[in-house]
Amino acid sequence: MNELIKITGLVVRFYTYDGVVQAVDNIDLDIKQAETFGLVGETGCGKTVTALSILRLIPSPGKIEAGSIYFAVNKGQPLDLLALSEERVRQIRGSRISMIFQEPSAALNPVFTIGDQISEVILLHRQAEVAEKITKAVDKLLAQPRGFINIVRWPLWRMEKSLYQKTSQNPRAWQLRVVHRIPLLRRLLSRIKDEAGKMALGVLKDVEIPDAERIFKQHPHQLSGGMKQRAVIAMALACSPKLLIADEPTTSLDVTIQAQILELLNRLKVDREASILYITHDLAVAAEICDRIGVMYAGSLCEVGGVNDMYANPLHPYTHALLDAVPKPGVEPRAIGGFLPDPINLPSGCKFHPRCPRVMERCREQVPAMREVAAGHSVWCHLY
Amino acid sequence: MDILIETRNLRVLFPILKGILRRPAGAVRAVDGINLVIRKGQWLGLVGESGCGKTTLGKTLLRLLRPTSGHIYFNVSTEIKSEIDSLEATKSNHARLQALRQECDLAIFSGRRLKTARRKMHLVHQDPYTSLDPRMRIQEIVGEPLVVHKLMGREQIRERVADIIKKVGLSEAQLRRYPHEFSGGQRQRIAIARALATNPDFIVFDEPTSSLDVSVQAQILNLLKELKREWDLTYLYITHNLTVAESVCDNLAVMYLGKFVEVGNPTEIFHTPKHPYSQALVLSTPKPDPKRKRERIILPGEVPSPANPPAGCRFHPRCTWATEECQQLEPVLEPAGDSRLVACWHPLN
Amino acid sequence: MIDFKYLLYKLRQNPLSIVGIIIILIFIVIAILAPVIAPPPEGTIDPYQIPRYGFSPTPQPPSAEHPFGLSEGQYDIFYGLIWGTRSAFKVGLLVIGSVVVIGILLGSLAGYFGGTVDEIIMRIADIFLAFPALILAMAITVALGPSLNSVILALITVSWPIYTRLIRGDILSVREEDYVQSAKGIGASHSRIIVRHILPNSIYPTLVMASLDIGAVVLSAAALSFLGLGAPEGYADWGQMIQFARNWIVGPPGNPLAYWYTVTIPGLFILFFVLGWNLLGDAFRDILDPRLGKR
Repeated sequence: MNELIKITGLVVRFYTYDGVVQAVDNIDLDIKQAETFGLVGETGCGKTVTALSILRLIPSPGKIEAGSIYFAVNKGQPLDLLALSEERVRQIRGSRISMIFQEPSAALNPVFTIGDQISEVILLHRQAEVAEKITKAVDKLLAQPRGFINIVRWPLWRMEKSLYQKTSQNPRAWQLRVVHRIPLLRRLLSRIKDEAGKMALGVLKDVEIPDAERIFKQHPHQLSGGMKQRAVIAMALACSPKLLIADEPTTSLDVTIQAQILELLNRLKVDREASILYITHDLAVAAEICDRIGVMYAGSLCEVGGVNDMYANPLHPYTHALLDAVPKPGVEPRAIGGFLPDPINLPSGCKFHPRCPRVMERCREQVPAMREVAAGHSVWCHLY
Repeated sequence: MDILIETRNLRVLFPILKGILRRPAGAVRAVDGINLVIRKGQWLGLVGESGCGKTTLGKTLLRLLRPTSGHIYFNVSTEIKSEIDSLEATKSNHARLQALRQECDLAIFSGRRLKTARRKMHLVHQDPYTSLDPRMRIQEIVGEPLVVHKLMGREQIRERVADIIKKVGLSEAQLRRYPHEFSGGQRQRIAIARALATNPDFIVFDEPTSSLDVSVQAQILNLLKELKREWDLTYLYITHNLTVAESVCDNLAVMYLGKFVEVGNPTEIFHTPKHPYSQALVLSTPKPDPKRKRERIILPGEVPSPANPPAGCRFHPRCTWATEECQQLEPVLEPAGDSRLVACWHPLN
Repeated sequence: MIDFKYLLYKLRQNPLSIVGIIIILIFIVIAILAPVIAPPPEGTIDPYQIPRYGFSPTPQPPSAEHPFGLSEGQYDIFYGLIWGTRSAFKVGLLVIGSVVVIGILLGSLAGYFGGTVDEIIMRIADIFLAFPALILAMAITVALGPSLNSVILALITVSWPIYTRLIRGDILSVREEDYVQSAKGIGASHSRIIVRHILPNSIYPTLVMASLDIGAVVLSAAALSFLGLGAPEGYADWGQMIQFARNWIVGPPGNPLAYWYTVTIPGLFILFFVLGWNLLGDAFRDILDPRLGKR
């Protein structure tokens, strides 16, 4: 499988007091390696739910009813994320696939410093790596000539070394958990925390936060919106994930800060050879940053294609209407007639048919199947 | 067209209180010397980023906030305005000055006069999810201004509410429902209906579509256009989205750190911005055209705190073309070509 | 405003709340039908005076004539408890009712206007809160003389600062909301804004607390009566009944539970009353979920 993520037949439903909400209705989607895929649509179209399904973060009363999401790990067979155990998914969350959200203040814990929060991610997933690094450092200390000064510290270093070796083999060993609980012995493990802190500082510098050492020690409330979002991006990238899911990360930011963040995301993606799944309702932003775009409406996909193709030649009537409604310089925005459908009583057949200017008899009855109209440009519409 | 709203040297400062005794130690200079002119029937766009003071300015115009100093004139003749100016400059006849100001200067209105003035102007808030009282029915929400001002009897109020609600695109049957039963776009329509209840002259919109979907945004903008034409309204449209401002407004003011940096025709500003900040805004605004090769000016740094604005030109720390002059002297809004005002020592283009 | 179908749905999700409602309903019925369930003997002037059947200090166990037995001084326990239900409701509802009203008045002034008014009201409240509640209540009842009314006044004096504070907090949380600003922008007067906009949106948590407190107030009143500071001797009040049992909690050696009925039965009444209000308060809190519409 050469795609990074392959979603097939995903169905997600929410069982609420008022009825069953069909949040995602049988979609097929793939995200390739090292590309930015934009998932575009309006409120309630299911784009956030799709993203949350990849990480199995759907809150109750929602349930993933059917489908498979294949994720290509570096070596070996692609994994079906929906079939994995919770333990396994937790290992993937934050390390192989991470997510950033719209409100950075909601993602940052107000009582911990930025540095602590990024170190936490590193300690959670890369402890073995960190421990190996430190073992070498402690080895160097042990290799020093045993003088009078070191006579007390030498046995401590030996204990530390054995602890670190244990950590690099199995971060979750029971011996380590016991040591962690005993206050005085815990200090033996403090080098791990410091090393993780250094790595966290490195990531902070990577996201171009000015004066990173100072920000490292600050709390979230002391930062502005743009800086907080950068800190959140740092947390997401701390373990070099292959896929970064960004759920409207710049909607709450100013336009000039938004430009900075988009530029940053682009550069990071290229540097780290990762893919980004960018969710937004803003078609202008999607045009700026994405390589391919998928348009969703009321839980189903309407059209998927390369960004240039989609904007120059929109196939689906909804995509067309959406592009008309976006304010452009010199052109008056044109509204789409009608309202978004009630998520509990969705229209039959093609969900857009009540508002479609080119509706046909077939649209009311049959759900359209996918048709690949041009290379890499598919549409779900009876017109094709 | 005659002038409907004018402000002279409007300042809104929020004191910062420090220490146990809460002594004022500086102030947040949210609005710092604004001379705004809105003519009758205009649709003025107010553009700027967060912290620039645009929301504060909008709310102060409606006296939801108290201005620290300056004048706000709502439908006041030019003669009276000049008289107040001259009286202030010469510092003579204090009594006459006070009398005139009590009568005409919205900045110091209070009591009954303020309440009557409120009939003629309204604010539509940014967040439709919190601007409607969740425990009142739509009927009561839209009718509230009429009830407060005791303008008509119960039956008449009911008729008028039904009338207005149809004008904004909702049905009479929906009047008995509660806000949580409506979507964001519909709630915004209800807020607009409430603003129209007392037949105002002036409506301030505080980013009314920023939390709405694109298609809904287009619907609301169309509605606003229609209503403006039908009811002969004047709008102040606050937004951070330059493209929206360009497509609907007929005049535009760009604000930075409490001051206007550029005022003029929106399309012209969009295509030939004269202030470096306006240019940065224009270039940072994403456009739905992937083929466009962007020479981006990524503005470095963050917006400085309005409590501590930089000396000289407030924009100079982030400006690519800043000179010595810019660091020391603060530029004033001056005409720069046909009907354009710029506050810059080295305007572009 | 109150969607009954949704109410039933929520209640079904929380069966304990139904238990609470049933308990309180039973007590209400008992209170209303007191003259029928425990008719006062012929010729009594004040039905709240518990009839005595003798003067011996030793309590008598339950019998056919006196279903719950006779307490110290031969007071009929059954009669005392049934009519005591009325006293309990009187104390609970009067105290909480007054305290909520005072809280709304003073709390609105303090919370809405802030500044000096706020400071003055809060400092006065602080002064009252500086006293330990039960001690202050005891002092007031002693000063005013033992009667149910002095108990009520004492409990009002002790509880009003808490509610003023709570309601002030509720108002502060809502004061800066957009719809309140809108109302100001329309030109609404302060009283209209407080009564129509702020209070209905913020006071529900406090009302829930108030319903929980009805039980607590009755408990405090019983404590005062138990100490002899409440209702006069022979008045039908649950605290009184426990006070009668003070010397008889442990019986003679060899049969320590001989006089269980003097303490247990009144205790059970108080227990179920407080429990019922607690469950009811929980039910209110679940039903009046502030996130209207989010089901």
